Amino acid sequence: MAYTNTDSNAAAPEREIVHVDTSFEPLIPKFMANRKKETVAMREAVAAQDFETVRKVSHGMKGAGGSYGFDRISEMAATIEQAAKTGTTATIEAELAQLGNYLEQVQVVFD
Amino acid sequence: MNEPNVQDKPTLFLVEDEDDTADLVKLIMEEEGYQVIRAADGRQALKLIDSSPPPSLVLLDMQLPFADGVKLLKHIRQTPSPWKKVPVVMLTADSCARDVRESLTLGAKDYILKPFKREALVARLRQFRTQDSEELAS
Repeated sequence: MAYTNTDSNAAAPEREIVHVDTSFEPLIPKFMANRKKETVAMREAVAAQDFETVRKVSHGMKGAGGSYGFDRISEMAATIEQAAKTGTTATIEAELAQLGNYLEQVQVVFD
Repeated sequence: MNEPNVQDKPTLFLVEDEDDTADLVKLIMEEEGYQVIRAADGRQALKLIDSSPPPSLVLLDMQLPFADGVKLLKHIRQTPSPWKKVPVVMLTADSCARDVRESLTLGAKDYILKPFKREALVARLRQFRTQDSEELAS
C-alpha cells in the first residue's frame, strides 16, 4: 500500500519512492506532518538568524528520518545541522528548499 | 486470545525528547514484548527514576532538555538497588566519542546511533533480555 504525499498528480514526473516497514504505517502521517511543520519552523528561525533553533530541530530530524526509512531526510537534516553550527544561512536555505520539495513529492510504499 | 499480563512483560524505560523517534521505539519494542514507559525530557525522567519501580532496561537519549543523558546515567547509578543495576543503553544522533566513552565509563552497557534500523535496534537490545534479569537477581 502506498502513502502519497500530494493531492494532485500534476508536475511530479520523478517521485522518489521510499520503502517503509508495514508496521510503521500508522505512524507515517504524523511523521510526515511533523517534518513539514519543522521545515516551516526552520525557515522562520533562519530568517530570524536563530541558528540554535535550526540546530535543535535539524538534530531531532536527523535522528528520526532514517529510523523510519527516510535516509534522505537524515542526510539533509545533518547538512542543515552542520550549517546551523557555523551560521551558514545560504546552505541552510538551499537545503531547506530541497527538503521542502522532497517532502512534497516523496511516495511511500509499505512492504 | 489470552493477552499476556502487563505485569509479566519486561519494561523498557525510554528517555527520548523527539516524539516521532519515541513513538517508533515504542512501537518496535512493544512488538518485541516490552511494556514501554517514556519520559520526554530529563526532568520527567528524574521524577520517574525516583518514584517508579526499576524497569528491565533503560534506553537513554544523550541530548535532552533539563538534564542530559550522562547526568541521568549518573543519577541511575547512584539510586539504590535494584535501580542502579538496571542495564542502560545510550541513544545518540552524534557519534561524539567523548560522550559515548564517558557514558560507557559510567556503566552504560552499549550505545545505539540514530538514525537506527529496526533490526539493529532489536538485535542490540535483545542481548539484555536474559542478561538483565540475571543481573537484577544477583
